[in-house]
Amino acid sequence: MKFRGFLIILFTIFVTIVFGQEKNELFAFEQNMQTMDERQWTPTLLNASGNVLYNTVMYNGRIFSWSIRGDNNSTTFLNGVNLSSPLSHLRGNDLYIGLQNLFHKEDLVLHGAFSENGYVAKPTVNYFSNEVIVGGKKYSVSTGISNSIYSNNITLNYQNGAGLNGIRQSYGLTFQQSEPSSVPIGYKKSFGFAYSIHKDFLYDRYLGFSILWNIGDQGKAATSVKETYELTGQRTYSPNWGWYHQQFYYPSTKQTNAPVFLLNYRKRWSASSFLKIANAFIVGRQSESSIEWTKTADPRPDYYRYLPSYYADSNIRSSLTDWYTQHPELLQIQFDKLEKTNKASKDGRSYYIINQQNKDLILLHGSLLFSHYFKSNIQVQLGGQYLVDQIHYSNILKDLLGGTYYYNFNGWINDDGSVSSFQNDILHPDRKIKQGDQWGPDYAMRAIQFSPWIQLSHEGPRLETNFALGYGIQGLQRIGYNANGLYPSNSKERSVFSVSPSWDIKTQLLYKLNGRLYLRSILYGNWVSHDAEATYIDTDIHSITTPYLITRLEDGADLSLFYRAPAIKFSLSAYYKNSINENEKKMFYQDAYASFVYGLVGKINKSFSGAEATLETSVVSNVQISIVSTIQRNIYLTNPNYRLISVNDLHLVESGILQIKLMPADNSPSFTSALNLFYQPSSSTRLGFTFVYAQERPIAIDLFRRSDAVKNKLDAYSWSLLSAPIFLADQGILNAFLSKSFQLKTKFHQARCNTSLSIRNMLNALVPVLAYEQSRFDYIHFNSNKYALKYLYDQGTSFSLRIQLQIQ
Amino acid sequence: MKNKTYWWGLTCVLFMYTICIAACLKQSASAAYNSSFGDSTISLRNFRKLHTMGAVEYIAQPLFLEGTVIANDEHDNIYKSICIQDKTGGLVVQMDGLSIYQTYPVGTVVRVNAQHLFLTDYRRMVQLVAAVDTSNGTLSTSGIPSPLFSQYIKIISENAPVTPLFVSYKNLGDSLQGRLIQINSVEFSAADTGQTYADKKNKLGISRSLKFCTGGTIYLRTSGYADFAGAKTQSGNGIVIGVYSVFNTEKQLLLRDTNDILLTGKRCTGAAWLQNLPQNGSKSPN
Repeated sequence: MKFRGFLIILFTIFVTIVFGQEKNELFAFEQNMQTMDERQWTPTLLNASGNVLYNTVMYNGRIFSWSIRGDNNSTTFLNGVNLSSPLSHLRGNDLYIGLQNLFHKEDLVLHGAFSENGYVAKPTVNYFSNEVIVGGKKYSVSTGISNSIYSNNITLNYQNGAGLNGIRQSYGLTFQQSEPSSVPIGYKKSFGFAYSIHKDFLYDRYLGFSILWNIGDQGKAATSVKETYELTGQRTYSPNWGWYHQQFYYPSTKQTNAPVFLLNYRKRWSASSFLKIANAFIVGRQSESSIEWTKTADPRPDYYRYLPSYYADSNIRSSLTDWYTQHPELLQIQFDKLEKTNKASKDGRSYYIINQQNKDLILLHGSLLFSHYFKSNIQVQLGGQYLVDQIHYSNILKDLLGGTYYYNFNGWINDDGSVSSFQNDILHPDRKIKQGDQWGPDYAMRAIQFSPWIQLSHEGPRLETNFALGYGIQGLQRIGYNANGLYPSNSKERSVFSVSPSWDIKTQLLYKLNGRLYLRSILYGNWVSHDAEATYIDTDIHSITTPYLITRLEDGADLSLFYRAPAIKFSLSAYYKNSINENEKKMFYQDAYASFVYGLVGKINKSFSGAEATLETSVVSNVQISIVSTIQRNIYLTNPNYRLISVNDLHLVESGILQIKLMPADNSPSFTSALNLFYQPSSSTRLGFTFVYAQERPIAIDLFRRSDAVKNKLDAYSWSLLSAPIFLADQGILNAFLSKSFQLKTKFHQARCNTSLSIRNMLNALVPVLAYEQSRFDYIHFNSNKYALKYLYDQGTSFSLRIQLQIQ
Repeated sequence: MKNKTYWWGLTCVLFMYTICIAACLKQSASAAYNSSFGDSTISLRNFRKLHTMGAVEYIAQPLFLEGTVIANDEHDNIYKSICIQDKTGGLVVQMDGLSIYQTYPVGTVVRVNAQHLFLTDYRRMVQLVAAVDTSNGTLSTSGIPSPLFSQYIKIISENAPVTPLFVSYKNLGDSLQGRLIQINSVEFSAADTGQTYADKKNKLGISRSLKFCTGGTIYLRTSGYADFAGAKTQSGNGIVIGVYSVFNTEKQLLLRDTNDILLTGKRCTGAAWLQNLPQNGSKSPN
């Protein structure tokens, strides 16, 4: 009774004090990493792929983009199903974000190593499961408090253990909330619900059904130029919000409301044979809102023409600097002013609106895995993945900001005097849209994909051999529901079904040199299908495919040496990955042509290579030190072709070669080193410090300004300045982690309380999380400073406190 | 004699008193007018007098101008500036912003703080600017930065009536710069009728000659960016309203939009018309 009272009090405290605080995705991620970290790294052949320090570093705080190892391209499987889609703009993670704590991690496959969960042609794969673990009843309540963008949460979970007729059920609820302006993204609120029911049948069969439903709404952070950070003195400055009727107003938001239904079946014939079938059905909506404007002044407060640096005259610069210092609110969006403009316009035409882009999802994904062992050391796995996706893209006018209507025009089209080119719907021209009306592009994209694969493993006394072969076929189609003025003939109706195959092949050899020393090699090659983003020039207005639709090839190798002894663990790896025939595209305003263009790049070849060393040892019995260092070189291998085509009519306005050979191909630093100190005075208490240092971190480069067309207009010196890569300052950060567990016992229950405190960026270093060259460039005078670099800074020292109570 | 002197003296005193009263009354009225804007409010005509053609004057002291917006960038024929006028004159205020018309529509009465701004001229067209630069040998100017609009320009009232000043050809002069004027009995020269106002495709401005029936030519200057640049000039005779402008010695008129032009009457005949026969056709863009 006392215990129940204690629970009620505890819960009341949670609800009253911590309600509105959230469990966060990072924290959940960290927790998952904790699970990995706790996993024993046993020197068995199949389990020889774990990178302890990678996990530890991530666990002790996100390390920004300081990739410890090359390619960070990863994917997540939920109950065996991959929720990513070849269609654009699906935010797969948002479907279950906040609910991860109700999952447990099955496997983490790093660097293309083989997995018990089957074959996926990705370098990093996370496998999660929410299968209810067999056991007694279990209640858990956890809460997290944080001042970071990952905010605050509370999560409740109940599992009934082995219930009636072997039915196991799990209920989970999670709430996340951050009040406006309390976090860099603005605000965040979400409610998540998870329910699972699993039943074991005779003959070792298992059927599970789960519903995950996350309803989320949050603001979005935005990058800005260094000048605005200096003017405001805030590293968390965001131009993405403003004041409206004396309230915070966030025009840039994202929402998700799409339940995921998972159906899992497993049949085990014997210890050596099993079949897994998993299906996921997702239906719902994801949306994003943003401010839009037409034929009016740019509302963004950090627009380059509004900043002191735009003016050559020192008096104006000084006046503007003083003005912004006296009126910092002017560096946020002035919604009252926008409203006044809208209200003052003739017959209430809105020049500024808040638009909401909707993506209505109907997704069916599934996988099949059959595994069989021959003679206990030969395993055959057969499997396949399929997906049938449709996403309907449309817009809704969310807020007229004081006006009474908005024209259904395409604001990206240059008005060339043609009467209909800017009409979004030529059959209903000049339509005046009211608040809540649908407008703009209206189309659906369909994708069908089927990928069977086979994986063979042989485990010998010294040599373990793995081989996998996969094949995939993918189809993409655009279905337009309205005819726009630019492309009336191919914006409406169904496009042709674009079909493309893919092939994957991978081998892995693990050689046991002796009881402590292992040598592993991985070789792989993929012929990859392009996703919708890379296939079409602009699905918003037509179904024309990019001219650079060439089969993409990837090949790579990883050679590693592992040493495992009780007191020391050591590994050394060298790796490379080549990616051939990538393409890229972006739409931007080209000053020299005074119009919007699509920039298309084809035949991009990249190389990612590097070496990594890890060392893990115990200084004394309860102090562990891990060190990892990565040297990497990620570069463009060739000078690819490019084209600039007019947004208006796809007319070719420029083409040539981009001079980017040997330029950095991603943002990973050339050298990263991490030192982790881990102290565990008792089994229930752990303290860890991680220091990560990065050198030669390149900013993301804009390709198009490095064209031969620009080069030919500049002298050698100016070109060398313009084309040279830019590196951020070398930096280090220190993160800390403290956890403590308590055991509580009563006559009928056993409870465990886990507490943890994570502090990130303890030294409060000013760390750019993102840094990139803008798409817009001064193609007339080639002044690199006119459109300055954009940054997103880390917020500085932040903490996450988490308390979890489990009762069994 | 004494009596005569007395009356003479009394008459003089009364005369002086009358003059003083009148003067004082006028001063009083003027003071009353100025009192609501401070002593440093200056009429546009007097403000323009501060400028010497070809020179640059820095306005160091606080001087306030009050005027009504009579033209802006609504139809893109006027770029990054507004034209204000009061009863005494007009002035172009250069502003570094887009869609200024949405903040300062025609009929808005504004008060401009000219302190720290510059008076210059572009080809003899006087303008108020925020900065000047002569570092490359030529004078280039910058308008008031848009974040500082509210610092320099206060809106006093809106929807004030804007009436153009009727002007005959012989009265066209620099004192009318920046003012909204109306000219009557004019028509496009034969070569300029049925032509586009400007070259919309190539975004080039063009001057079209407008002939007075009574003799004389004024040029209708249209930007290639104007939304009516592709419209055709009318062939009739009638009224044109626009902002008076100059380009060196050339007298120009800037349309605000095509509602400012009403050429529906019959074309001129007679001796005056003969004087207006086309000589050089349209002017090349400047």
